[in-house]
Amino acid sequence: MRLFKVALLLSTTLLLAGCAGTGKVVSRISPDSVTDLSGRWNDTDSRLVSEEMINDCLGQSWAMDHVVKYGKKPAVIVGVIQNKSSEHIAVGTFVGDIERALINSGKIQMVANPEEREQVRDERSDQQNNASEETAKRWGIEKGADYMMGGVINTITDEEKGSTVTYYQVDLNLIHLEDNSKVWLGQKNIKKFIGRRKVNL
Amino acid sequence: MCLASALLAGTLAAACASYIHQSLALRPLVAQQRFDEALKGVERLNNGSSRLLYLYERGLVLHARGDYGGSNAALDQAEMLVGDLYTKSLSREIGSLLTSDNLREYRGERFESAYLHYYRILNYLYLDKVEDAAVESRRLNQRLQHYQDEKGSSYRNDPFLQYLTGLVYEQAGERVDADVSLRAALEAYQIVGPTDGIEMPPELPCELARNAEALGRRSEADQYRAEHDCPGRAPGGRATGVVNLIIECGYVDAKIEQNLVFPIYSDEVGEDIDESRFARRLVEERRDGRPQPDRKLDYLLRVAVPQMVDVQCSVQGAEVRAVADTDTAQAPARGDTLRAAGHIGAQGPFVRAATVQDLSVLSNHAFEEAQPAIITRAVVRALAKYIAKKKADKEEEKADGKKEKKNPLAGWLVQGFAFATEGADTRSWSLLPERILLARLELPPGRYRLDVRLLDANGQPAQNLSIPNVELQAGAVRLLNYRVD
Repeated sequence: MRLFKVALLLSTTLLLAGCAGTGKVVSRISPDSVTDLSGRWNDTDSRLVSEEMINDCLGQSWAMDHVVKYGKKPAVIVGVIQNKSSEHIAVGTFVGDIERALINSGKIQMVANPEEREQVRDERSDQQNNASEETAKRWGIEKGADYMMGGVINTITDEEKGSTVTYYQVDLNLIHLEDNSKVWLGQKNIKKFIGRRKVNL
Repeated sequence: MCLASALLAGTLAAACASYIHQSLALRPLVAQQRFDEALKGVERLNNGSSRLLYLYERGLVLHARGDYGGSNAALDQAEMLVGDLYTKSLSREIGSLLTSDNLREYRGERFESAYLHYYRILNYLYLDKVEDAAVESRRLNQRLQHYQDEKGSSYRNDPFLQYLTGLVYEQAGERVDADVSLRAALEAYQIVGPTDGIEMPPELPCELARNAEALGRRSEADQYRAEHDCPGRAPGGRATGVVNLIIECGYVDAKIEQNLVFPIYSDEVGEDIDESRFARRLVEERRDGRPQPDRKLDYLLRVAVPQMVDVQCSVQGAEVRAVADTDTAQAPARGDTLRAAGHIGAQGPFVRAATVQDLSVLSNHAFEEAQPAIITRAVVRALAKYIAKKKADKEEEKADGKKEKKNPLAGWLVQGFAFATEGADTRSWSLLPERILLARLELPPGRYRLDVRLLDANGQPAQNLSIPNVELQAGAVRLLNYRVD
């Protein structure tokens, strides 16, 4: 009996030692579902912030004022969104979400960013040499943007005894490209709490 | 069942005990730039309780290989794991009380988790992602701030890492953050520099002066310049570029297993012994290895604990000069780091590299702080195994008056288990450098070859090497690192 107890104790110890790691499970989920795994900025944050801020932006008077004054929808380009936070945020994804929200509103015209314009110009240049005269696109009639959207993402982090609170602040602005007037300023905040247990099994 | 358990225990202990050998074997592979073999060796370290170390070593090998994206991915996982390891596994902690500290998840030292940010910052700079390097600098500053706020270790700030983040913020145009980091670096070097044997980068006060000037704090800038003999600001902005060459020297001190032997006397161990209290007494009395001749010895308690091994880098200093590979524009170069500018092959004078950080000192500090608890825990564990053996060996008196052991096999099993699982935790991030040297050269725009003269302990040239194709634009600040063994 004593021998059995000793062997059982030793085996249990080894079993506990060997119980490291979990199996992997893969399942498909909806792109719109909210999934917070690490506590860092994720696709849900990017989508929710961009939709809410653009709704706010387009609900202000500047867009209607522009239509009244110029008789056409305002043309907008998304410029630089600086990441001044302490997290590596996929700013390109966030910019894409902003552009999508702007275009889908139907209230503005979207203008290509510098990288996209470079690609388009290369293609247009190629067309001058290789495409038919009827289909080759002309130079000098690109649409210039009326407004540029830019902004900055900041974070404030507080941490103690394994728990972390991160406060994200996203500030966006819209600037008239001719007279530099700021026609809109928006801000959206997100706060996340990451708690960690001191002990688990 | 019994034999299988003993064999499993032996295998477990053997696997953990060889960690230090496997990780030290990576060093010559990295030194010889046999990175594919080094990565294979790193994969062998990937077991459950040492995953953090696997990620650290993998991140560093990938960085050395020039795979900066891959290195960042590994170190990002490491950073997340550091956070998750705050939660202790109860089963592993209990298991480690019965076997060895190698069963516990390796959580790393504070300075190790700070230096993962160092490599990530360099990775982002090499990838031309200055904004991401600035983000990483903020993460590092947060971690250092957290260490300052929490007690428990002497590693509460790092002057070199503060200086590095200051340089990155300057590059990113974030003058306010640069000012905070550079001042933190200055203060930290004044506090720990003399005790840790490290030097403040000579240019640091002048960087502070330039930054203060850019922020409109002219009197502060003038004060720094007057106290540290810095030149005035060149009119029209900086027409030169700056190369900061970081020379990573040798490897950080490693741990090996050391056996301590504590004599246990017959009159000390009873049925109701308090193992923790007795273990503390053994340690405090420092009676290891010295049985008292006038007392009856019952048992020699063998305990395996880690011990630091000091292996100094043969390189004790360095000097760096720039040789122009292209015709460089005539531009004022502070300190004449490149004379006769304008001619290919023009050589500047050698600039001395300052020893700005010593990771072996940090490693030894961390070890000294942890050592009392490690020894006490090991003694408690060994005592528990010894008492278990004593109980297993309990004798019974037979009808004929002879005494024999109730279950002799139980005693052997416990003894075998104790022997096989006793091992010191010698894990550490073994590929970190021992020391970090920094040389700063201010040069006209152009392409250069950097000649590095490595010096021995007597200050004599021991080895020469060259770093080709260093491109520099006006106003640029480049950070390069180079490893020597």
